[in-house]
Amino acid sequence: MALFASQKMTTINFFLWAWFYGWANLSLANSSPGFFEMTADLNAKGWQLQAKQLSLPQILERLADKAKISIHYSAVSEQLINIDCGSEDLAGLVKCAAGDSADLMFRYGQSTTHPSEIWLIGKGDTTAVVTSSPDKPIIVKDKSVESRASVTKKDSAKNPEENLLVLAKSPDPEVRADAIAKLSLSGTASDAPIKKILADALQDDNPRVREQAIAKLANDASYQATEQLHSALQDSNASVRLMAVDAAGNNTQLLQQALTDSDETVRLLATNKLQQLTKTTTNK
Amino acid sequence: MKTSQLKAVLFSLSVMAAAIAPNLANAHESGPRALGSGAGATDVYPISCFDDGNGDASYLTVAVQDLAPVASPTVSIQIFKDGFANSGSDLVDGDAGTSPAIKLKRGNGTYYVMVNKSRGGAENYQFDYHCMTATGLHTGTTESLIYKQNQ
Repeated sequence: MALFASQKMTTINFFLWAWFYGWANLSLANSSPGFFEMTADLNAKGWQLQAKQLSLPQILERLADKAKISIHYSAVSEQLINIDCGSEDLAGLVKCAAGDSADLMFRYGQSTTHPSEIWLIGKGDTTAVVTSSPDKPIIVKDKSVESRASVTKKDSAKNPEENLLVLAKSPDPEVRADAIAKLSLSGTASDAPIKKILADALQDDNPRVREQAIAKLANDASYQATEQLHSALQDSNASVRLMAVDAAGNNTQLLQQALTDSDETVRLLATNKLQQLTKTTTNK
Repeated sequence: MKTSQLKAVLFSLSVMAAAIAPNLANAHESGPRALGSGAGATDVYPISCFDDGNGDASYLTVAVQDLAPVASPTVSIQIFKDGFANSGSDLVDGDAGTSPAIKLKRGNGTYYVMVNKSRGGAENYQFDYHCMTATGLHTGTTESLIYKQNQ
């Protein structure tokens, strides 16, 4: 009897174990991470992303973790997908992964090629935004995201100058200043779109943006910036006034005006430039 | 012409040459410029070296001077061409001294000179630049600098 009982318990235990094992494997299969691989070939300046049997949210979470950026997404499908994407930049990679299922917005910090933050708004109702970042993911309800759904899609592969004109209107002053500075390397101040951007930038709230605008205008041979230089010399910010003096060239009237500036750096630059002009005139 | 007269003429010529040479050495100076307040403020100058009759350029040499007022950023200068580079810094702000003269030996063509600083804060500077032959003669050098500023 004891032996039969023992055998019975062993049998029961066996079936219990088998059931548990099967359940465990089934659970693992359902929660299987699928396949995800993302690489960045910095020499070839390209990004590669492969994913199989993962939902877009799962892909975005892994991508955010790998690229060390924050990605916010809402109303994106949970359907399992397979993707194989390649792009010369991270923004293009995310666009490829999202396909036509979402609108995107990118925020750039110091770098204009690697976004620091990305928003994906699924083409459906927006009731919540999920943020995935290198820290713990959190869920917030943010209806205001809807108002950003239609903002800029950046395509860095096409027409860099057009891209700069867009970035010059960014809500981020650092992005605006950087874009204005890069306009110095392409196009001329006489081009109508650039002229408009620079005119607006001269009145910008941020002094760094005004600095860059005056530097661009004053150093562009196609544009007469005398009036703008005189205005910049009255700017409340010393760095803007410094740029005006820096760009003054042979304008002795402007340089002499700067000799009475309240900022020592501005006064000394004007002094040095006048001395240089005097030396050049004497040597002729 | 007697030997003594010839010697006198040669001596006069050498004195004149010595008086002229410093001017030639100082003929290429950027003129006082400003690096704006941004920490990444960078001025870029393309400088062309060519044979002006003294021979092909062997190298470009530059030296930067950090001008008054004295401020914490250190001003540095770099030369780039054909994938090669060199750099130098003026470690004392506001004095008459410059960075050590640096050179990049890449022959004729366009060199890119960059001037930047170690941190935020406006800085004034100027720099000298000369294209030289392999035997140390000054040769063709861009006279008028066009610079691009990126802060």
